[in-house]
Amino acid sequence: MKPQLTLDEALDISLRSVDREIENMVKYDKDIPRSSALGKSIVELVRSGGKRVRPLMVIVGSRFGPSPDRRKVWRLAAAAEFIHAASLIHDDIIDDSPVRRGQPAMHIKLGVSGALHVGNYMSARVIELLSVYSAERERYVYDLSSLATTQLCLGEYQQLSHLFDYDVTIDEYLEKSRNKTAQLMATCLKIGAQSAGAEENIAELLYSFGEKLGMAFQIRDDLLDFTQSAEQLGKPAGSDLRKGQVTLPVLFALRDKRLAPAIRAIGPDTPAEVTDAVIGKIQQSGALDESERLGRRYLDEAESIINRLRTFPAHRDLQTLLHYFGGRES
Amino acid sequence: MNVELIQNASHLLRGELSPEAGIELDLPIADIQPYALLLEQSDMPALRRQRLLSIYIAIKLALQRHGECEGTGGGEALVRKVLDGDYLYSLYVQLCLKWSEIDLLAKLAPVIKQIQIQRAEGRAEDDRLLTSLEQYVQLENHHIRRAI
Repeated sequence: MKPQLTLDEALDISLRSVDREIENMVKYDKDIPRSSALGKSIVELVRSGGKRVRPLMVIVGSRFGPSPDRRKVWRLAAAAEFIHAASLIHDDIIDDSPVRRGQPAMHIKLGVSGALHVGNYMSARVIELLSVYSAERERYVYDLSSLATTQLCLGEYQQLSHLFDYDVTIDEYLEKSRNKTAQLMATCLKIGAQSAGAEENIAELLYSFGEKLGMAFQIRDDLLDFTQSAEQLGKPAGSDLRKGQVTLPVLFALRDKRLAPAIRAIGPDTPAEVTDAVIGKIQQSGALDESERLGRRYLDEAESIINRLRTFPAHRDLQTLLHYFGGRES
Repeated sequence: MNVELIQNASHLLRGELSPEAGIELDLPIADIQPYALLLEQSDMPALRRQRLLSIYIAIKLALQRHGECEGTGGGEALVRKVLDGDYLYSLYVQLCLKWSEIDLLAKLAPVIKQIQIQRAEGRAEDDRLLTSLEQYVQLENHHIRRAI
């Protein structure tokens, strides 16, 4: 049987080179002392693995332009991963998650302050490195503006202010998911394309493709919280709801008038066995199928964008991404 | 006195903050005054002084919020401080871009990075921020005077 290719192999991108580029962002920083715990922590984090979806998307985006400048593209790719990794470090503090990629999370290793400094350092380093573009001011402004995490933070604020809020609408949920997840993925494809001189309408199509993929990714993530076992998840099923996060399956389940009162009764002090019973009912309701259908609709829309980009050989890479995110055959 | 400049800059920044963030501008006035004084003595137009001061306030607030995290017991208070700091750090970048203060952004990025490195090593050298902004204002004054 033919072994299944990993995403990087299917896209023909060397993950080792991507990782080297990411590590170089720290290694070649003259302000980092050799013995610095901060520098070591970042290198350890990079070496702890990760699929590097965002850098891969930057590189795929660059394949839609006539003149990819390898150095610039790969630097942008590394910058996108740095921004993502910095946000994960701070997310782990926010979510009080002790483990990341099978290892103690950064705030467990360095304390909350230490972890915050590492994340802030990574974000500031991206701005510093991109300023090398200062000769191409418009490019610099655009890339920085795209990679700024203001929207991501707003997604977090939205999530925080709606804990155990069962009146949140599906539109509000989708807006939060767009801010928290989809926007950065969409940006990666777009800035990759623009750095290679792609036409604006092509870059916009790629943005739209990435946004739909990101939305489908977030919905799948929310579904997995209900469909996977505690062993697979490494935490109890339905953890999002236990923490007050009202995700798409819950919103669909709230439409069931018999189930809604039990869901609405769940709050921060609800005993675990009561929440378990409600989670079981959500799992048996049609809410998971409805969520799946909405996720599939985003993937269908993404697929229709691929069809509009068929003249580019790199459209096959988009099919690979679609397959990866949605488990679809290309 | 630079009260008016501080008030105008705070008002400007409040208008740029998303209501969803719900951030209060509770920085001690003593933290803002040295830079406000510098700007007031500069040759820059009034609006630019306000903009530069509001960028400074955003960064100082970000440093303050993250600096307070360790003493917070956890829970929502900690989450808010982490998020506020993250949001303000990204907002200062957006403001520099929006107001075309690209040279300032390029000057500030390594300084903010160095402050994080120093803080990680247990040394708070936040004064670097004011020093580098002082140099920036002097340079800008020089440009303005040469252009006249």
